[in-house]
Amino acid sequence: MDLTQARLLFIEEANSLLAVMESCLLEIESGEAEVAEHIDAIFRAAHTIKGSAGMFGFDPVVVFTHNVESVLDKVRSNELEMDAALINLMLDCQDHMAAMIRQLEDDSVSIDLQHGARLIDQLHQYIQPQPVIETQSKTLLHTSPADWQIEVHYGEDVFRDGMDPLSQLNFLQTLGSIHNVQTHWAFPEVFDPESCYLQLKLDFASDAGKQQIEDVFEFVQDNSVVVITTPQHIEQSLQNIAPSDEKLGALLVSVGAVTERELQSALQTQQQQQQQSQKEQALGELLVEQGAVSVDTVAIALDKQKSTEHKRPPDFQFLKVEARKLDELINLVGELVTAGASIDTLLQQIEHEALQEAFGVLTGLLEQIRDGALGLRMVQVGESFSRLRRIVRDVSKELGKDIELVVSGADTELDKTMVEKLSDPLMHIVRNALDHGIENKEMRLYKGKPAQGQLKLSACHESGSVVIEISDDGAGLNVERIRQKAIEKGIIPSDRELNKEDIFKLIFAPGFSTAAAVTNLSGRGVGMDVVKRNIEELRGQIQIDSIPDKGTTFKIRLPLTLAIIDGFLVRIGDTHLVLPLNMVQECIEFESQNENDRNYLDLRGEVLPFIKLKQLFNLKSDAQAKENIVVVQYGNHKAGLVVDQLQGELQAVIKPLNTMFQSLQGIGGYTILGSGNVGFILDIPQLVQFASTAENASCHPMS
Amino acid sequence: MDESFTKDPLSHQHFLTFVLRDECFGISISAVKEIIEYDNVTPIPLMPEFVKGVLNLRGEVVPVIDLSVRFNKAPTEIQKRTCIVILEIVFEEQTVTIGAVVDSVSEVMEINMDTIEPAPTFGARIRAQFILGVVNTGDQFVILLRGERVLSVEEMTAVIENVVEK
Amino acid sequence: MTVQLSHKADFLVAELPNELTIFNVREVYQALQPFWQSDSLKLILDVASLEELDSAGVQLLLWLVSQIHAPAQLIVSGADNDAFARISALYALQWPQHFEQ
Repeated sequence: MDLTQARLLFIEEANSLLAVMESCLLEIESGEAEVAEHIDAIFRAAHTIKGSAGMFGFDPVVVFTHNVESVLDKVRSNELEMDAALINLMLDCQDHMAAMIRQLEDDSVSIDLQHGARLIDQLHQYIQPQPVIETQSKTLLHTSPADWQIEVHYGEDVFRDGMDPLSQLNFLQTLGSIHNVQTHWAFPEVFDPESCYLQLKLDFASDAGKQQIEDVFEFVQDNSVVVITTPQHIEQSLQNIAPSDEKLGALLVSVGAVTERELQSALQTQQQQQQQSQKEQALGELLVEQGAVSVDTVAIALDKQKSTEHKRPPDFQFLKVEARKLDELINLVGELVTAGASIDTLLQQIEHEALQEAFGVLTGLLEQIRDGALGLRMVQVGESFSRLRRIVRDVSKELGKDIELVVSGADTELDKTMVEKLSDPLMHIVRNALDHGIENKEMRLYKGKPAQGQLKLSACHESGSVVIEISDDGAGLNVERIRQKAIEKGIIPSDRELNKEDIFKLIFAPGFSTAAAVTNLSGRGVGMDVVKRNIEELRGQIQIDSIPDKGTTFKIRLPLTLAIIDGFLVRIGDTHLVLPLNMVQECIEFESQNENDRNYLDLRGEVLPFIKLKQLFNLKSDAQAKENIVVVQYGNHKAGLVVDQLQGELQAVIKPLNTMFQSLQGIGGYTILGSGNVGFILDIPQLVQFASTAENASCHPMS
Repeated sequence: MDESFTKDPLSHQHFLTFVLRDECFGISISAVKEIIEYDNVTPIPLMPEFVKGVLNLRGEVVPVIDLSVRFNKAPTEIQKRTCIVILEIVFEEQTVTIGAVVDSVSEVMEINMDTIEPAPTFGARIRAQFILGVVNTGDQFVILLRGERVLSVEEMTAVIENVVEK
Repeated sequence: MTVQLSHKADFLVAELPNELTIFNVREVYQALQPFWQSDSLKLILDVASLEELDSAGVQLLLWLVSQIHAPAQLIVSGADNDAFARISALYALQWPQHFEQ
């Protein structure tokens, strides 16, 4: 394998594992998850990073991660408690590891070695006497065989039957070591020297399985009571096994917590209960009653089963595919859709019912393949959100503000490229909200707000788009100050009258910053304009809503995917235009009798502004043609688009505009139509914006 | 022995020659991807005149440029022999495919680089920076073009931006 | 010969045979009756000659110990006997070995 390739794979793997580690730690910190739920994933992430780093000889990473892993191992074996201080340390370590990985990627990144050494020191305080480094990962396998507890109440006839408990003890000694033997002799009033009154209790350290241990007592089993209690390490091995679909009994037997006999006996009891039409007891309950296992062990096993049903651990659940392969596949699917459309066009011309029917089936499958292929690129926005969680935590700590982050809709799916590109703008907005939006505690209390600030992050689907909202309950935007600032900076002339919404928009102007004091977090005045540009590059829009002292909300609206859309095809002259179908509300005939300048009409009592695309785009068409209006809606906006002819629905594979046409307004891309012609995909929000600017320009000629 | 061994590969290059407004031009074939008939060019709204539109080249949407307009002459009139020369231009480390409309394509000529004369500073009525040089083939002059300048993505983008935002 | 009972000074001594197993526990138990039912305050159980001992035997000895109540005292003598010591260790048994004053 190409080494650089392998190195890149390592870096990518390490980064995703670090992300898992981070989000797990944060969930534990915020109390959203129990330590037990995530410790394995965290440990495994560290362990895997160490292992892979070792393979590549990235020794500093190995050494550092080894220490992290050792501490995590102690948490895993319940020797250490994962308290707030340790979580903090782990997050710092995670940061440091991330920095080390970044350095592998980019030599110019420098690492604070002293910081690393300090972290190792802190880790050592948790590990205590353990010698420092052992590069091989042997430590993992070293789990002390914790003790089985064996309790035997011998039957009275044991001696008479020729059995001697001593021989059982002797035999046990060949399997492991016996500790803490306690004998109790339950002598009755009338003592019979040939009867056995022995009750034996002992701890047994052994790697033997339960079955093996039980076999030792095989011959006394019939008239004695033998209770073998599962040691903690079995519970742990139960904790550690991957969630499986196995039945509870099988699961318990497989880790050696229950023997086959115990299971059969419990199953029998269950069956009897069934036959006698009694209320059936759960298998776990019966096993506990039999003394085969502890309640805790059953609980863990049940949990494992549950986790198969509900969720898998956050890592190792994905198949890694090179993004390029996926893109190629999606491109091909795009071509397939286009080819399908051209066959459809041809089929319209010949009349062959059977062929058309067969093609209909093919089209159905094609649509499924298209959706499936696009689905492959869809990931949950939660990925970006979890990075924000870290920022909220760190920044609020740094600022000394107590801020709660409320996340909803993290499972909303969005195209992977968009999730990646969203990360930066979201970060900027969140930082701004933390820094400038939410007031410090004193100010909040003075204003009569709760001391703890709140930042809400939410994502949801809304009519074919994804809407992401970031809202804080802070001071809100100061309209007057923004206006003042914009005038100072020469962004607007001092006599320009603007409404609230337009003033909010000013913060997206390049070089604008409202921060009174420039902190090291934000307030450098770069950012919001970049945010806006980033969002627009994703064919999205961003809106601000703000109420003084109540807070500010940023609303980002994004298309679901960048690749293929369900479109509605219209025509003006020879120009084919495609509208995103999900924005199309209805189509009406355009009554062009009122040839006045009015660009709005009465739609069932509602005012509907419309755009004459022919004029806007300066297109040629036969003047005689009857025109139609397509009513489109996005968010709260509604508009009519005047076109010549409606041509129906289609699947449009979006092809980006060539570099030289990027400045084109209102057109988001191309698509190739069934006829082989090129159609233009309209970017409705941008188009409306463009039309209103054009109209304003014609109403108020520039001075 | 193969001819190519006897010649310095740098001293001889192949040029595709074509006719535009009765003048003969040449462009290095290293940039030429293919030549197709003028058909199915979709005009793009609001574009300056030198942009003829876009073309579906087996799934790829390729901009089509009217060279004649780029040379400050009247737009090309589409006729039977009108062709589109598909060129690959390097822009910002990426290859951009662009179509150029010409009246007709003539032939591929091997030209000895030593016989190329510098562009006349005036008289060609074409921006000097577009021209690599002029060569006399015996019966006519051929103006050799610098493809990456004639179809400079950067410059055309700026022009389009200007037109669109006005 | 099963159990040898003898008085030495003010001690009552019971010498156990070389075998004390399920096969002779009843016999030994019966032979010991005068021992645990006696009025002697100081009883000595001599296990020095024991060679074969099983759990039934151990049980009998423990039962004996449990039958002696203050002011009477019982000690086990010869507890360093191999068979006896090994089994006592396995069961983690402590035997009284000294009379308390």
